[in-house]
Amino acid sequence: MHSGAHRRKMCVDCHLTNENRAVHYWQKSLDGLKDLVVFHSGRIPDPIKLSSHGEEVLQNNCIRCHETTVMMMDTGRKCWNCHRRITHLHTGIMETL
Amino acid sequence: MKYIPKERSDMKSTKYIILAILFTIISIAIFLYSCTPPKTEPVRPVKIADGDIDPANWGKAYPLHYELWKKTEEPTEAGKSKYKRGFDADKIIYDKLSEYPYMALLFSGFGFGVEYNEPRGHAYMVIDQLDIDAGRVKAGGVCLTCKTPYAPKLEKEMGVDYYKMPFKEVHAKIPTQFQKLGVACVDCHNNKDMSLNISRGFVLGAALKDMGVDPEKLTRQELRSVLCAQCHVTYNIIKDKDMKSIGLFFPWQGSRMGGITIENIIKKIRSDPSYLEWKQNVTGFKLPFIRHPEFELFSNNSVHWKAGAACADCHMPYTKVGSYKVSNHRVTSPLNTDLKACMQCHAESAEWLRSQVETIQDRTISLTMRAGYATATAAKLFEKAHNAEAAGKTIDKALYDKARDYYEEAFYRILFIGAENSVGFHNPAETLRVLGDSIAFAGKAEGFLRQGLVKAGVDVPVKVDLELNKYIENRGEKKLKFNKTMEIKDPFGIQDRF
Repeated sequence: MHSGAHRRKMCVDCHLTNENRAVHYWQKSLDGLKDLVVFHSGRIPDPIKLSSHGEEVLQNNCIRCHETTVMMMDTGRKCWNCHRRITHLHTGIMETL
Repeated sequence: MKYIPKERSDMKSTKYIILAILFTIISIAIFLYSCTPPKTEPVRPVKIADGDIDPANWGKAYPLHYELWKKTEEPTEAGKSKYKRGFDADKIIYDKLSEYPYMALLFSGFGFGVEYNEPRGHAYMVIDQLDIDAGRVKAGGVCLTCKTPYAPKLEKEMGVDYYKMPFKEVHAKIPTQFQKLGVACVDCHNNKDMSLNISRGFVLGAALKDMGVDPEKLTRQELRSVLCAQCHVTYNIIKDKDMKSIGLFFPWQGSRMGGITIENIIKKIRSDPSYLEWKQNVTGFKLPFIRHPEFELFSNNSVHWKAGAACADCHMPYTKVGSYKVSNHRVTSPLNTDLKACMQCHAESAEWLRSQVETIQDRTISLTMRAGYATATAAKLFEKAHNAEAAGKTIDKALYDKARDYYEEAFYRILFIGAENSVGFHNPAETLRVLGDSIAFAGKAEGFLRQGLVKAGVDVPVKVDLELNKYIENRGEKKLKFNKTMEIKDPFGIQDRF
């Protein structure tokens, strides 16, 4: 056993759809384009919050890896509302590449 | 050589290209679709028949949950909860009237004033009911509503007789092997897919509709609280003119989901004489009653309710069993399981969390004493006033009526918190507010009565003798005695000055 396994994950492991590659890259390009505009027009919110679409993607990724564990649970609620220490704010700096 | 016009050959090749593209798209789609793994679902080897109540049969389909549920029969380690010493391994059944002697005075005249114990939990709920003084089930079959999983069936088949007929007769209609069965799967689950399901529609369903809540539209997370509210709520029994039970309801009218207040409950239960269930010995007043309002207190804007936590999150926390996480069906207080449920969200240590809980409970206990004894003192002065009247003296009516109104307000409030099973933790600020109001009303009632008595020429001593022994010793047929070792003392020592 070891803790903090999520620290070795890449951003896109959690924040982009990973069910198939086509959708993954389609989303990646859309998100990237949006980030490009938002960044260069100086509209980055502070603090950066997850959109409702982002929440859905993230939740699906939690379930994707922990599928067996959670199959008898209520997965309608967001995992990180209880597992609060998984959020960026509480995990510290991590390597992303 | 046949001449083919150039345009036609172009058209033909375009057609082929379109077809090829379509084919490629469709095959990629099929490929991608077939690559998406199917949703993992637990294997269900057995089907549960409609109307099957036997938990052992449900357990064949859901063995993990069944095994955890079976554990509710086992006592928890003693000494984990400071004030709720229920079903612990020491096997002592705690007498609430010895723990809080003021209750013996206030409840004298009712079953609660004879035998009132800390319960042993879900697995023993019918057994506890069969063991207790018969006065506690005098209301009839209606008492089984929360105790047996057969209640909805009996209510449907028997109609008003279910409420009215003697407890023992209605209980005998339960199949013999399930006559001691407490909470079972069917009380909360749908046999088809194990989804959450309200079984007490005839009480909870009606109460939700009174608040404008559609029971069909509740989310799973809401149901994880609302299902507990099938029983962990206050209820009132409707009596006909012969004092026979004819119905049952929750006094939630005028309240809203997330805001069922003590003020609204009192307003409702004082609104109709058919809700008066018993006669209080010391005052001679016919009164309604309030029971275990866990859901009402917790859901009334408490911090955990606002955070989206359900009853089940703390009392049935998700627990790892093998490679699955299931909600722990060994329902208990988080104090008994070393605060594991709390630590899911809170980063603090178990010791830290326990001390926070106990701090809240110490404060609640202290004010509970103040409110309980202040209300008991007012009750005792009513006895004095009645004795004075019997001796031919006249008590000022305006003062007396005002005192009675304030006394009842104080009584329902201390009743509400005293019956609630978290010792304030479910909603600390609201608990102290209600107790504070109880003390205020009781103090005023005492003042009005003292004034009335003095006006009538009756001297009232500085400290009113409550004569607790009269109420707490030799209770009922079992001649139950006061057990001083169980008495809970004010943790701040203030009560001694009153």
